[in-house]
Amino acid sequence: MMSARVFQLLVLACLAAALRAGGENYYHLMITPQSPVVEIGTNFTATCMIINTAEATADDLFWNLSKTTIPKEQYTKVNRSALNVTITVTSAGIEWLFCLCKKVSPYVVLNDGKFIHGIQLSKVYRLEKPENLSCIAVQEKTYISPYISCTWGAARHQSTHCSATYTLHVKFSSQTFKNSTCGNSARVRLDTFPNHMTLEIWVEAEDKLRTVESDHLKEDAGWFVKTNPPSDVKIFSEKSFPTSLLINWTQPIAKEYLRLMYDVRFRPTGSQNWTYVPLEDIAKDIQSFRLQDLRPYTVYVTQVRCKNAVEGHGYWSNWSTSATKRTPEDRPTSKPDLWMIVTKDDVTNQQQVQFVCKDPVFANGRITSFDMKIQAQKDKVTNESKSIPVNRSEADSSSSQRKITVLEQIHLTDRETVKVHVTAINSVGKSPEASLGLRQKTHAFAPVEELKVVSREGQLWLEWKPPSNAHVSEYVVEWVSDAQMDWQRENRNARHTAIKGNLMKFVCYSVSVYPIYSGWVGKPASAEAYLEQGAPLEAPSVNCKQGRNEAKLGWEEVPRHKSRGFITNYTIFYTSGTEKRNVSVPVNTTTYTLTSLHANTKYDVWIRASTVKGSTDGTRHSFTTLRYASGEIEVIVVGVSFGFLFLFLMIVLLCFYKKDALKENCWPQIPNPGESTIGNWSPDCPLKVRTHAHSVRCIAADCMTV
Amino acid sequence: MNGHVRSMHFQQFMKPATTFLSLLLLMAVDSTRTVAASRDQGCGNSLQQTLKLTRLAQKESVDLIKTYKASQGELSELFCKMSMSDVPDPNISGMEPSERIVSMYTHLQAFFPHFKRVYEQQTDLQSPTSPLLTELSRVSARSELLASLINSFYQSLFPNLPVPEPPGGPTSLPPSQNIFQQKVYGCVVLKTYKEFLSNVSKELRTLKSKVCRWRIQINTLFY
Repeated sequence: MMSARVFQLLVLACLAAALRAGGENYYHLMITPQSPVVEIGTNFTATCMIINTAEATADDLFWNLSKTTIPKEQYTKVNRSALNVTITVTSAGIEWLFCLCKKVSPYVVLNDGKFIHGIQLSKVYRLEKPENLSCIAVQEKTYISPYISCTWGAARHQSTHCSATYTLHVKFSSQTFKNSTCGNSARVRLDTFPNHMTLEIWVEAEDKLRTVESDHLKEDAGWFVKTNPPSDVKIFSEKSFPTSLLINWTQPIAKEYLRLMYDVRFRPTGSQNWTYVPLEDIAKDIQSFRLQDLRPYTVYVTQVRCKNAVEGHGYWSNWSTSATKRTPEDRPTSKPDLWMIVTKDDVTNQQQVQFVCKDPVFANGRITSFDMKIQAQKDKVTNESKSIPVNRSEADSSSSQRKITVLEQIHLTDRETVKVHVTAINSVGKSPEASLGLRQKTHAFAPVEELKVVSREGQLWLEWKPPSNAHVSEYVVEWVSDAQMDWQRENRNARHTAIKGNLMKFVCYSVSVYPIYSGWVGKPASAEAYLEQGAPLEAPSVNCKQGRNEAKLGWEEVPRHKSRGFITNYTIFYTSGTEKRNVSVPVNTTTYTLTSLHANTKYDVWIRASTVKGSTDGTRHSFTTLRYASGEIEVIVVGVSFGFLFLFLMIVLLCFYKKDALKENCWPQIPNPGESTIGNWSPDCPLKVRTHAHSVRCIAADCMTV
Repeated sequence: MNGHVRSMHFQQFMKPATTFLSLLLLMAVDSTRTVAASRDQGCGNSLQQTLKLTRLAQKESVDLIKTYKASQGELSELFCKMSMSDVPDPNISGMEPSERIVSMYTHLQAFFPHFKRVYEQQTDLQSPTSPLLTELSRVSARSELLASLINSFYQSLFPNLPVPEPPGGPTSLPPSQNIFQQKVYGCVVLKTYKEFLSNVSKELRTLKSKVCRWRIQINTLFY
């Protein structure tokens, strides 16, 4: 602190002398230092001196930072004509520091331009030491490139102008090479890359205030090298070593430049998981390596990379181009997966058993045939052997989905027992034998209990309980749809599993679990399930027999291949245009009678089929209810007919019994005018009515004797 | 009392003194053992480093000669069968290891102006992008590094001996040459350099057993 103060005084003295010598008499205030560079976050002290005037003293001076007056607490009076101020530099951005004088005299007022001075503060952030220096020299053609590229951290962010310069130094022997940059990376070109020499590399950061160096990186030149990957990678198989492949490669750079260590990885095609050979198993400076414990008849992809053989030195090269080869065939080392499909022959009512099998898991080659021995026992034991050739392509053998081969189909009578033994053959040898037995009377081979099948997380999961008091050796889970059939094996302790095959959505599978008792197939437990249900593809079309106030509807169930799920119910919709009604019916219903319909009304009706996942409506069917009920018209006609008949009879009877009256009334006797006499008529003749044989007929006032 | 009784003080003093001196010697040797062991390791590492660089320079010189022959057109084999004076001596001289190391250093440095001369001549004879020029630069730079390493090795082994100075006076370069002579000269320089490096390599292997292992033997004498 004291030395800083002394230094400031010296500077002031020199400056004052210089100014006096220079004859600068115009300004009476002068700030030192001028054009300072200040570090953000630190304190800065400036001094304002009064020169060439006695009109003001240090007590009359004050400081402004831009437009803000600095509090007096931050001032320090140096002497009568000099005043210090200390400020903390807080933010980036240009600021001006002014020294001004209070208007203490008319001279000051009139010459206020001479009593002001300002300096611009150039601010910089604290220069951090460059950290995490790392450098690399890559291979170029057959040697190491003379360029070394380095990067480091803690570089100051510099947008447009470079406030800090970073210089990369590379030193070896008595030579030093350098290159400067504003950023956090640089490259230096050497005459030649100094293999086998010790390099010392560091970065020097410099700004207007300070210089700071990074830690020096002092390492052998090989520490920094990244070579090209090994080239010309080739892979060889040997027939006598079906589980081994030999890899050869060419080292990317002569050993005089760098001794190399290698890293090898491999994977079967189709797998994304690489297997890495432990580094300690690979010697240094080699150009071949033997992979072992591979699977026979499997295509492997291999890659190699390299780096400086000195532990911890250098960078791994990129992985080489891949080399691919198939291991040779070996005899199958696992059994074929033998199973059976049991169906009933409708004609003979006998059980038909079809024996099927899949290639062994470890086929180790292309299966060319299956050898099969069938032992059947009814009244006597019969043996039959046969060989079933198969034609497998390379794709079939490589595929994880094993093809199902139908071996033999036999009829099984009630009392028959059959046991089948199968081996798989490839070009090298045959597999262990698989056996499967089937007894018709399987009462001793109880099924599993409480089988449940549920769809969960995109898979069909099964749960079951083992048969009680039974010694199951394994379970076979079978799933069958219209287009597909497959199976998988589970060990004896399994109580649940997921179907591993590719199941399709919206397809109904019949899933069965068979317990196997030491090679003998037990009774299955089955259930139907969907991996995923959806709305049915179609709904039933309805046919209708309408009446006057009712209509009898009929339909057919949705076929299984179109239901896409378990149909939960059917809903019948019918509308006359003004009102819409619906009624749900159980799934096993195929007829329904609508009642309370209006006569002679047009109705639209359709059926909706529903699963848990959705519904589908069928086509609309229109019908018009009858005006009359069936038979009603006949009744009416008959009734009317009978009515008319009755009336007729009544009339006839009436006519018969009242003929006189009728006659009299209907056919009154009209006197013959030819026999009539004209009565005496006179206008004075009173109107008389005589009641004697001859009736008198009077018409108005006229009377006539008849 | 017998007058011939001798004073036994000295003998009495000698016994503990001898023990003490032996102890001091043991401690001194033990302290140097660590230093010597590390110096042996340093000797071995430094020499190994020099040997590796020599082998690299040798390999590059072999490759360079091939490139040189391929870029001189026809009769290149003929150029390289001829001999010439005014090229550095490929043989290492001296009796003591220090002298031989100095010989390696000075002889190596003698090649520098010849490399420069060959480069200048080939710049006129080759296209600017010729790989020969790149390889010549690299071999020349490598030779300077090797010289530096030999110098460091020498100083580490013989810190009290004067540092070998670069040969004074103008190196005996041949006078101005025509194109044929230039081609011959270039090949002779490179072949001589290759032979020299081979000698250096042999010498370093010999030195390894003589100088670095000698130190181990000295140390083992005490145990």
